[in-house]
Amino acid sequence: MNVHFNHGPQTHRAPLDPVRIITESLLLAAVALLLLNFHPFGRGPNLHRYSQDLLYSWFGDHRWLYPKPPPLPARPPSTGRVVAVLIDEKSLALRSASWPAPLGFHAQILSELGVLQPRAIMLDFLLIDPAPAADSCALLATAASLRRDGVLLYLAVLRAEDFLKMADADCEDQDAHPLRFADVFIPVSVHRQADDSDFVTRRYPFADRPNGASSSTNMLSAAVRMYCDQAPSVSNCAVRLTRGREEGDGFELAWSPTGDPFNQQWSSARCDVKGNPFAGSVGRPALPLETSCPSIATLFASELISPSLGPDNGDLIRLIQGSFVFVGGNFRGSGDLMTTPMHTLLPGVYYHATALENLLAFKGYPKIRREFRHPKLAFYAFDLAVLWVLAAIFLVRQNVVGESVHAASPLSVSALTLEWLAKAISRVPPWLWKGAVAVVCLLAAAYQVAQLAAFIAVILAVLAIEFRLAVHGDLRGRLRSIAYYIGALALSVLVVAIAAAIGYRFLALPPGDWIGYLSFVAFGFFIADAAIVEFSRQVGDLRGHRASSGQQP
Amino acid sequence: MKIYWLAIILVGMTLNLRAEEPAVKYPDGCRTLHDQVLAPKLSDRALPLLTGGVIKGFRPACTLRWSALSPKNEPIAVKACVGDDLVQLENDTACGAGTGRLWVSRRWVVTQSDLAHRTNPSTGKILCQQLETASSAVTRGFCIHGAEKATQTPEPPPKD
Repeated sequence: MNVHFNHGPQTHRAPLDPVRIITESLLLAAVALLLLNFHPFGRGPNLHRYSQDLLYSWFGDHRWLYPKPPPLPARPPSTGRVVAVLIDEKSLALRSASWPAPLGFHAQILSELGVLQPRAIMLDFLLIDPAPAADSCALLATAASLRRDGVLLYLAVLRAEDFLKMADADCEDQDAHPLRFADVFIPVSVHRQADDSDFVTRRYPFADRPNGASSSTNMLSAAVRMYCDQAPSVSNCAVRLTRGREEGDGFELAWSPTGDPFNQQWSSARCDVKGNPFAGSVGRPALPLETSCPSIATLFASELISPSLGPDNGDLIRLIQGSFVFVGGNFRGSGDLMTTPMHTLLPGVYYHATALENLLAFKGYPKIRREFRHPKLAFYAFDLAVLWVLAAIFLVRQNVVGESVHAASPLSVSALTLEWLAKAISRVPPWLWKGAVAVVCLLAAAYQVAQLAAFIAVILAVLAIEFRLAVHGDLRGRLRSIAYYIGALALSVLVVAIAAAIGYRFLALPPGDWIGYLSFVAFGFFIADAAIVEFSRQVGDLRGHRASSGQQP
Repeated sequence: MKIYWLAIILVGMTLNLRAEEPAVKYPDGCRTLHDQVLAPKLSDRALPLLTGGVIKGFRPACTLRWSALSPKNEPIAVKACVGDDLVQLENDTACGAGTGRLWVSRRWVVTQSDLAHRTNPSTGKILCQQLETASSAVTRGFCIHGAEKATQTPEPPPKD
């Protein structure tokens, strides 16, 4: 039995023609863009978001990806530090209170925090339970005192009407002026957003805008309002962040895998764990690692209340003075929990704290997905431009390598080797070699260690056969092809790095929107032989043939 | 017989007799006997003073500088305390009338007993401090085994 092999694809290669390279690479890039965004039945799978989660878990502690404010400053006041203060049952018990935390208790916490002179305090509690007038008045009086000292106070509400309906209990200050919630607290929306497909909290809404409501009725989300209130031009910040936004729009949250060093005093988990791509991917699931130490500095209210539990006053002042403080609940079974890319469950107050830290880190220009950008087409055009350059690199390489049998894929098994293998295998009965392949696949599927061993064994065997059979000229051609391959790969990675830097830094696109470029680099060489390019060449040939024979093109 | 009870109640109301809330004293932490507040820990900041009590609950009364609380910079007697945290001052007028005796957290003031026992808050013990991320409710006071964490052993009180 004679076996005939076609030594390499009979590809048609025209000489290096810039116009052809430009047009064919545009064609390739357009097809690639469509494939990367091909979701005919609605939103696509969250694969890019998972890649983004991994990127943050590996490099979230690097300033190029997430330039979060540095930890505890050497000297107060802090500039832009975000701190969470957690109220739990222990702290309530210390002041003879119980759940739900009474207004009088909130007033005490505000009063004690006031000594430490924070920049702003956000109370992440919905004050919807009826309260004695004395408690309401104590809270209002404390809040008014803090406002006089220049501390901004924010109160969580779900709807603007809820805040307007808050009973003011006819409270008065020392000068007999009426005290009202609206005079001392700034209402902020505390709605949360989660991705539909996996319920992971990755986005933060700009504002709460009910369906059909105009932009003037927006109630800004807590972090947005707090950031814009301290920004030099208040109105511009809020307008810039909310202009043209629709209900459900939000910005992407960056996360850091490293815990704040302040938390090490209470956390049993290590807070200095750094992101590590190798530790995270080898021998472990390819999902981000769970981190138990939050990246936001956290003070338990019981430590604030009881000096025997918490840090000394010097540490507290360094932590709180000049900081943005979020007061939230940490109650077992309370339900105010969220799933983040790095935490299976985390108290909800960290959502707003992390969002503000993102706004501070990115100086008011957080990362926003393309789908929430306007005009959307411009951002997809940027993608097309990047893919165009990458496709051009692949096509130029393909043309430079020319008619070589390894032009398409230099790492593929050569025809000589395939022929040798076929002849060798044909000597054994078909049932035997097919059965042996099935057994090897079965073992590899069942035992992961066998997969790596089998993979290495196959690579070594094929390499040995390739070197044994290769003639001198063919080997040189293959090495040349591999050199071009590696060169093109390095150049395309450089292009991706530049595109990612432009996209992340200047266009404020989150990693999930540009991480797909890397997959194009990985598979671009296969795409370079896409049928659409061959089809376009056939069309070009036909047109050229017509022109040469004097017909109308 | 009933007329006597009525008379006692009327006399009590006339004299505005009120039951004092019991001060909670814990033998391990509360050191009220002849204790005094000597000075603020942070001299440049106002002290947050509380009103109320264990039964009615606490709430802020006002914030005052030490100079307003003790114009002559004299020690203020401690009348009661709650745990090792709040001390009740012998002062019921600093925040205006009707507040009752005022309370202040030991975090903000130096007391005589603190000096005597050389209490160093940073060498205290942190108990079961963790994020509550369990989605199911458990018994109050439940503490995961091993979560208890001692930072440093507190200094023993000096022997007299």
